[in-house]
Amino acid sequence: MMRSGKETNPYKQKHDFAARSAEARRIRKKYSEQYPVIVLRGKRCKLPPLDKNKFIVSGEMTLAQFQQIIRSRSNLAASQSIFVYVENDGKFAIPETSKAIRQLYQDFGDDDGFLYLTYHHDDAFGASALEM
Amino acid sequence: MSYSGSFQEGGASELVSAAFLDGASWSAALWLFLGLVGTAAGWQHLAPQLPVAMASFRTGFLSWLNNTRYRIGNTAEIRTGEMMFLLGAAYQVPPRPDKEAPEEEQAAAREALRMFAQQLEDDVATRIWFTYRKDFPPLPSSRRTTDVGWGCMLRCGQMILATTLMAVLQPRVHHLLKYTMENHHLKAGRFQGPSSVGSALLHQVPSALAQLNQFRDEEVKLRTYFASDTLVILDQLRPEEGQAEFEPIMLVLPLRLGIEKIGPQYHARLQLLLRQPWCMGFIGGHDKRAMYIFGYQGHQYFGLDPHRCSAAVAQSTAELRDRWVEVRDSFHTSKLSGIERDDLDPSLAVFLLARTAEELDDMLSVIGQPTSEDRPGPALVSVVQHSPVGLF
Repeated sequence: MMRSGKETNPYKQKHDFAARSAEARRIRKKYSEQYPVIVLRGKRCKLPPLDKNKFIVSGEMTLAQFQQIIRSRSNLAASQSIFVYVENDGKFAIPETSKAIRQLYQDFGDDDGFLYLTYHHDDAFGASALEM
Repeated sequence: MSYSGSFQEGGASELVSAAFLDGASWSAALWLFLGLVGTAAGWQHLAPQLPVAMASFRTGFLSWLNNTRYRIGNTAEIRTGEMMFLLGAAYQVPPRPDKEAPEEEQAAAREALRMFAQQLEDDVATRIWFTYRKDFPPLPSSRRTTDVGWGCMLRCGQMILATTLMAVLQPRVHHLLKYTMENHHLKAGRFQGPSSVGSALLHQVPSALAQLNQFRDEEVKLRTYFASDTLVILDQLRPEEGQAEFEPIMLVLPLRLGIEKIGPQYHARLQLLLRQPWCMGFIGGHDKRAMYIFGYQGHQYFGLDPHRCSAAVAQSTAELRDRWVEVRDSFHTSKLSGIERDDLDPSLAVFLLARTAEELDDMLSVIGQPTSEDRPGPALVSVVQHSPVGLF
């Protein structure tokens, strides 16, 4: 597959396509009802990084449930919102949080066999020119 | 509006209830009621401290800078001959006079435009406008006496909450109230996001209502719902079975509709929302400048901009009497601000108010149903029956 521009996905930067797809195939073969998911932190997201970013997730689980796992691992206060989206080769989508991981994997899974999800908090506002 | 109150000695509440006899001006009662909120918000954390002299220079400089920026800021550019929407109300903007037409027709067209401008100005001027304030008593655990430079999202939150409370109470409330905002999440001096402000404000609604209800014969009820993780769970939303009367409910939807920019496909659904009578608008912004948005036309969103610094609200009845006109006027503006839709930040929080069961049904379909002819753009949230959380 043709890829234009620099790869910005840190997981893809670290592992080449062959290694990634081999691993994804291995996981899919071993656990037929579970799916390999990589969770990335948004580019300017200020939440702490997760202690791990590779998950094997049951296909039944909804994105909302999975979001709870991300929440608990990033020590988010209850008042803080978290937003999960799919960003792949410049494509961007906000998946419905009621959808099951299996569905998201079918709709948004990468060619390498992983599903990449990115999380972000909401933007804070203040007149930035006035920061002193 | 008649603000010609005859002021008498007595508590602030008597004073203002005497002054507000008609429905239109009760919005001004609400400003006081909420005005004390913002500045008195109980931020509990210590903000970076500055020597006092430095702080006052800073405040003065910042308010000067902000007011300069505000003046050169973004006034709504309304296009003639097109529809525009403000808080669910549709306006047909009259067309420009046709230079080829007979003079009489041109004069009529000019008059129609003038009338429209007046009507629009009246609409905007009756909204409650919150701005930065300076020289209020220091916030708890902080020496800050102004929110210039960091409080804009909070001010937008106050505007949208005030609008919502007005919509649920109007026209039955004529009393001034004040309540304190015990705020456990927000730190003074820190920039705020629309979601965190939305969530924090929802916590204030019960105490606000309790205080409002002290002055009323008939109890006002308002439930609140915060759609975390872009999920609306019907089990939690719908009233209990067998409950005779529908209790109004206020929904806050924290959204992030893109990474750097808002996904262009979402504008159609946001605009559909802004055409609904139950939509109170949303708080969002651009370039880190927060704005309360409640209308649109074409590619522009309209709303009120808090980036203006006013003096603190009066701290006593005597001071209020002395500064009455100034204080009152500082809560209103006839200036509608505009923002190009491509400049809109993807983070925003939508506020909705369902006063009837029918409104709630309508609302759920507009926010949760996938794209269709009647509902352009993608759904903003997932509407589900049961909580999907806790099953594993």
